[in-house]
Amino acid sequence: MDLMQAVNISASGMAAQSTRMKVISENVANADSLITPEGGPYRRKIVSFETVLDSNSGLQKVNVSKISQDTTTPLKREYNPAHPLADENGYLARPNVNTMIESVDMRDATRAYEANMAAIESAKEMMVKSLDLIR
Amino acid sequence: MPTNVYGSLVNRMDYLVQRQGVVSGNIANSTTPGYITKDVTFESLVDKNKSNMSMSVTNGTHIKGAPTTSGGFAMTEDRTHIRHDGNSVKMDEEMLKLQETQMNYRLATKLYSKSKSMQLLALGKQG
Repeated sequence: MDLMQAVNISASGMAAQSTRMKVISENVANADSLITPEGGPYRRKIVSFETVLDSNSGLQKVNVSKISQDTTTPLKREYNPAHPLADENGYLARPNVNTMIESVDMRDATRAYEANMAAIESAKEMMVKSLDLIR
Repeated sequence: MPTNVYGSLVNRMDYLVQRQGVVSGNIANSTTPGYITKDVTFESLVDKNKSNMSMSVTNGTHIKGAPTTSGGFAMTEDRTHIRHDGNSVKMDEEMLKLQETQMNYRLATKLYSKSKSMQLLALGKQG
């Protein structure tokens, strides 16, 4: 077990948080997408994390286990009979993305990323201190 | 017995590096559902080392000198305040642990170089 392994663990956390950030931006960018290749409006995506034992160091790494679609939150329905994509009753199905939730999620990801960064900084300082011992 | 000082310090530094890794793991998993906070404790083997590490005493009122510690580590889990997603990481506490580990490491390396310079001084070289 050395300090480089501690840095690796923090790096796994940073990688996981950047994947989360990527999916959040995808959600925000597609908040108004009404057509997708699968048909129907865009559905919000959710990232799930899982703890993985790093066999090298015996420490707990973090991994993205899956990116799934949010099918429980209902799609927004908007009355707009003039729209070409409206159904026979004049309703338009819009993506189930809530920009407020996404922005809070984004902030959470940023904070977690910063915390991992602080852990790396701290490990780095310890490494410098041990290098000072041979002087 | 200056070598014993080095031994204890290396042991201490080993522990701090181990702890740094565990705390990093906690921070990395701060948003993982079902993750339980982990920590390592330093199990001192003070009594075992006492006999060969105490200062000689010529008077009963003299301070015996603090024994050095060395020992194994034990993993612990913190199951207090588990959130709804099953995660029990408290970010503020982890940040505090990070700082604490860093400070203790700084102290250990400082002590290491101090004892080295003391030894050099005794050998007649300027430490």
